[in-house]
Amino acid sequence: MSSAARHIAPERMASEFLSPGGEPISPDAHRIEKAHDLAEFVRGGLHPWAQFVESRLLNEQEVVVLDLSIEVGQMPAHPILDTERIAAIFDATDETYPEVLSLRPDFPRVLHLNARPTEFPRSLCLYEEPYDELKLRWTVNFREGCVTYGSPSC
Amino acid sequence: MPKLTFFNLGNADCTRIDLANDDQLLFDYAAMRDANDPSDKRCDLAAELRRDLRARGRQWYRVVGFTHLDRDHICGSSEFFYLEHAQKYQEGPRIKINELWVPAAAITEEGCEEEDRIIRAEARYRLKKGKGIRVFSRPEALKDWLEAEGISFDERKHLITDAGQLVPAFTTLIDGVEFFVHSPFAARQNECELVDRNGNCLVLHATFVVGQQRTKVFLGADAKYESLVEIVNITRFHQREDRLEWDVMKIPHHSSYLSIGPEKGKDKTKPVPETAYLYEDMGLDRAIMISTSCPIPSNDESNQPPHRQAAKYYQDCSATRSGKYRVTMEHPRESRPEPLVVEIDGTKARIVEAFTGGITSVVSRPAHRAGANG
Repeated sequence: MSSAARHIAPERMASEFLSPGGEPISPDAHRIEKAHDLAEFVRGGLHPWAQFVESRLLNEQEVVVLDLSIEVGQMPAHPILDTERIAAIFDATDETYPEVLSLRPDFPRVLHLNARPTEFPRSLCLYEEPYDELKLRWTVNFREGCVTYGSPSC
Repeated sequence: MPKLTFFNLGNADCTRIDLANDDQLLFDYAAMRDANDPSDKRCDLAAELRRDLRARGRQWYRVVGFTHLDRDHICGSSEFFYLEHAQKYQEGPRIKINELWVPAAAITEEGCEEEDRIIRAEARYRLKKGKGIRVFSRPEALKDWLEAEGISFDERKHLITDAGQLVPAFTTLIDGVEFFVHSPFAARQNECELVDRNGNCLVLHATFVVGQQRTKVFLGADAKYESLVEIVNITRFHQREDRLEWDVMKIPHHSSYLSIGPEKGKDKTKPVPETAYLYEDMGLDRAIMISTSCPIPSNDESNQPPHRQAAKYYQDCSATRSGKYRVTMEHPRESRPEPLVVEIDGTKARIVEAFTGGITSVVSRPAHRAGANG
């Protein structure tokens, strides 16, 4: 087992996670640039705290599923786990943020969530600024946004 | 906020504690990196420490403690620190030690011939001077040594702290931390004719207070299971179990099986009851275990720690309480280890897992400008 894999040991079986929908595709089949970049970056093993799970096609959107090691204290404000599975959903138009879903079925109701038609999977609100401004310097570093969910202010 | 930094030095130790009041303590100093070997992944300890001190605008530590005088705990210290006992260790940009902490064996031990002799000389000089030192435990040999130097034990006893006591001058109110001494024991040293460094090393339990939250750190030095058995039994006898609880443990002796039990085991080391109590029952939720060691081997080719069987035991201990077992030479990855940092705040302890390298250059692309083609 690689060092990175030892850090990111999913605490659940794959069947215990929610599905982001759509069908699995090869990570090489991404057509949306940001989805492709994210999948390629994580699969390359460059990030010690992220592990690629799968790629999916969801209508006109593309999905990258990851396990993230979360920098969380031993007494977090909310029950955030050391490892969380998330799905990043990219739209071909790139007119709005990539939506980031927690695929854990009991992910807590924290303060910063986006409204969705269904309660689960929960949609994480990671950004404060308009997407038009954000995308000028957007990177795939979702994890750094996700870690704030363990902090007392979230 | 308080911060612990465990440096990636192979099977060797240096732990820096940064307090909320900006004071710093350094436990052990082992600059093990071979500067002539480009493949050596151990950090340049002197450079790491100097960089931090430069940012703070100072050239001193409030405390430097040597848990014992083995090479993997003192290597290079005579080149890095300003030593008061001899002018030759005062030249150049050296780092001053406001208070030196050593186990009594570092004063009384005979036969030191290398860098251990230099640290012993510094400790002896400071104890004779009666300033800038704290000695842990008071074996008969220490009393004999003081007497031979013509110094009354009573004149120096304020510089000595025994097992079972809190280290003076550190309080949770002012410093945000207190240190409880588990080892060495005077009785153990009185029984031994030869100095057993690992058996008489400095084992401390630190309690950090941030807001209302108490975070407990067990600093295991190189204690073997026999010492840990005594620590557990004595502490329980005195009903001080809270001094055995831990949120963060610096695993003793680089994940050697001998800090768990007498037999390595085929796949997993079996603890003796007392070490099982310490490692399995006293670890708190999401507890963090840190092995200051080389990467965990997949075989038994080397008899040196870390031992894969011991690592398996610690990994299982961690898993049962949703904790983490981390190895300094594997953090964040074996191919490129970095100092492991633990921050302590109102949510107790967390390993800092910051990462910025590579992301921008790999995936961030210049935005298309309005009006530009393509």
